[in-house]
Amino acid sequence: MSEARSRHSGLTIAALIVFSITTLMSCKPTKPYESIEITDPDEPVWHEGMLPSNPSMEQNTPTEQKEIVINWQAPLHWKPVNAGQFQIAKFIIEDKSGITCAISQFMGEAGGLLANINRWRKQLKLKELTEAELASEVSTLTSTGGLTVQWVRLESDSEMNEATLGAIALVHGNSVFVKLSGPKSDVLAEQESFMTFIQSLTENHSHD
Amino acid sequence: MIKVLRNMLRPLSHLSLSVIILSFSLFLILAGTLVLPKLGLYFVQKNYFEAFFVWKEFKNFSLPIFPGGMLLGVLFGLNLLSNFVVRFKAYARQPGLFVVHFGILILCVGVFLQVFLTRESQMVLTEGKTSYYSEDLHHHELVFIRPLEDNRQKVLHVPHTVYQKPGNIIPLFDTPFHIRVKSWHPNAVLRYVPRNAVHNSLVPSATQGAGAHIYFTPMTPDPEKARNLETLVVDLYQDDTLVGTYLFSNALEYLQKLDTGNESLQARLRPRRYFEPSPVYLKEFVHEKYAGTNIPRHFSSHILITDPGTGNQREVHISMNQPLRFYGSTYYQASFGQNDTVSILQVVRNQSAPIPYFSCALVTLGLIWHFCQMFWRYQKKRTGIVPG
Repeated sequence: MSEARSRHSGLTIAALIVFSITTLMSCKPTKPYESIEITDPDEPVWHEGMLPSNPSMEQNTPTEQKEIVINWQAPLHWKPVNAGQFQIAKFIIEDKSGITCAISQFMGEAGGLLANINRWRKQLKLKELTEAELASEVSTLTSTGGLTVQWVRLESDSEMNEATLGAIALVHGNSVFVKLSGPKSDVLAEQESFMTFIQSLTENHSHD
Repeated sequence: MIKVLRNMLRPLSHLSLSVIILSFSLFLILAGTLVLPKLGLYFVQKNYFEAFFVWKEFKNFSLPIFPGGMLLGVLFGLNLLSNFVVRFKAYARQPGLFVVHFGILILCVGVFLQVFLTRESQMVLTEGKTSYYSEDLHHHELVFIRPLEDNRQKVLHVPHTVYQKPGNIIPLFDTPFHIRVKSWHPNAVLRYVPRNAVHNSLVPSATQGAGAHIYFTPMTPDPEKARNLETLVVDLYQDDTLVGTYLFSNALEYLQKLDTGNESLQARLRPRRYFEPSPVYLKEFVHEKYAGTNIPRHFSSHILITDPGTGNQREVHISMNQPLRFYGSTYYQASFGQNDTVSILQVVRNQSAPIPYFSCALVTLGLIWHFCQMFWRYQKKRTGIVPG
């Protein structure tokens, strides 16, 4: 056997070894298998009526929090459209193309009142509020369904010229958000309809 | 015959190959370290250091762009092995060097074995409760559970290689039921769809169980695998009749009952579980802070374990720098939660752990041997007197 041929064989052997190791390493369990385990008594079992999990699914453990269904009476000139992500309903307003009103529902406090109002304020490029300043900015009403609704009116500076009417209701540990936003003059013109809308919020018990 | 073997192995034993491999390794380590903050430790470890090639994903295909740590390691091992055969005579004159190189070869083998033999998981312990298992942070399994007597359950484990392939059919024990994988997504955003979402176009993919209230949007997987919400939709059949569609996700941390009539079956996509040699009972979790601050000063778990060999129970304190080594596993204090009532232990099982120590000892011994031999020769050459 010539030296060159031997060297060639050596490289072939090396390649074969690398290939065999690669193939071995690619082997993964491919079939289901059975075993006997000790039952974990603390492992929860989902049942109807239990909220499936947090909407943002932040790896939360399940909760016994009550599932809620919110009803409302929308003004006739508010037209329902397909809701976006994290919204349960969305409306546009006739003759006011720039305005939308979105209703969202989250499990838990979803950050709380101060964080959410500051989030809306940031969208309008307004300074964030402190806890102490919050009370003077927020108004509270009780809806016809007996829900406590806290709401704010936020207006940007004249350069941006936008406004937001936002309401938050905490119902059985769930947060319901109503947000109407758009050009300032249109939003302010819709304030009365917005107030009527949040006044109409009720919890629907019919499904229980 | 030996001459033929030597000729065959000569190209593999070349010192220039060692230099090339070491240079590539240096570059790989540098590149892996630079991308670490962006891609995460687990991804880099799996795709740079424990892979044969580093792959680059293009629009519709992937290409290997650099040799991975595993390929470099295997080639380096072959390089050293070939060296033993080709330069056997030289090694016979310098046995210290042989021991050094043999130690390095053992280290390569140890690292290679470590990829297969190391297992890392987490054990979540609640005060006053016992835990029997730890959970894998990176791999899930779809399980179907059939309750048995005496606090036991029969579990059908479906590995990821099976449930990740749409169309796969999995018979459920010896029942007339089976499931068919409808779709699988490595990551998704899941959201709860309340019943009053009447103006909503969102329709849950599942018809039964928790999934009937959940809408999901598939997402690009996060390189840090632990953060992904793996989501799976399966159809449940009785013989050829569709019974319902279920959604499973690692975000849904509970069992879902299957609509299987008299057959009591539950299912869940859960982290892969490893049952430990002893049940672990958490007596107390202690979390001390520096006075007037929230800075942790000390945290430790006081646990009770039972020796499976003798049946003796003993109390152990595990703290930050004091892990427990028990039947081949090491338990480290990793984290805590739920107002300090939950302690999380990292459980590391590495059967190849002694190999690097053995290898380092060999290299040290070899170097001492070699230096002594060199010194001996030098002295002999200089003075003609043998030292000692």
